Amino acid sequence: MEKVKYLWVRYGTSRNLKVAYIVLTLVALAVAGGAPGGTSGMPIGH
Amino acid sequence: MILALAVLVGLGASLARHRARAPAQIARIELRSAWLALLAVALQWPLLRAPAGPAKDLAIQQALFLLSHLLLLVFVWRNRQQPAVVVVGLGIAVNLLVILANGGFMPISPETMTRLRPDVAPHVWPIGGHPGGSKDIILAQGEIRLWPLSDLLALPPPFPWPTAFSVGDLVVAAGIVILLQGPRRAPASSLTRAHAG
Repeated sequence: MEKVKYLWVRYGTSRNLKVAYIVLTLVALAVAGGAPGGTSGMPIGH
Repeated sequence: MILALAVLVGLGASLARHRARAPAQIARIELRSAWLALLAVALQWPLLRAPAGPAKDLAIQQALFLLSHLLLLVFVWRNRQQPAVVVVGLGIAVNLLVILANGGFMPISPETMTRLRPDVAPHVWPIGGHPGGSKDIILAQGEIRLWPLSDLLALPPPFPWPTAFSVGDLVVAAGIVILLQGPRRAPASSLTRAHAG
């Protein structure tokens, strides 16, 4: 618990949180904006 | 996955270019209404999680999927002052155009599906079927409207996550990589400081 607290104080700065939020937003934009096709499903009736 | 890789490439390019200043550079990106992008993913989630099956059975998922594009377009409009977001918006618009022209799903041909799964012959893929884990509908190549803009590019095996993607996806990826390089101009506050100094 102490280590988590230390890491939060060390890295949980407002700037780093903003960077994380921007990166999260861009991941969301990439997932929602693109339409890549995969093959996670088996062909129907196969 | 392929577009999530664009974020990693963008981060890598930003680190290579700005080194220790990369986080500060990324933090200078101002995104308005970012929650719209997050909500758009939430709306698309049911379609992305839908198992393989006939696409006509996915009416609700499809409606949410199409609705999510409204949110994305509003997000792009709200951030249109950033050229990189406009590039992303162009990619989204191109994808949406193909999706709307083909009944509300991104079309993919059986031939492209077989490039991703070489163990399955093209004739086995059912026309009108939805491959699980995607936004696609399988259509015969000759029936695909705006075929050059559909999911016809592929990263086949041995790529760990075999994926088909479109020209629009490439444009979206390019916009994200550019955006992650941060704003070109220094913020007004630093310009003021520079003049004062």
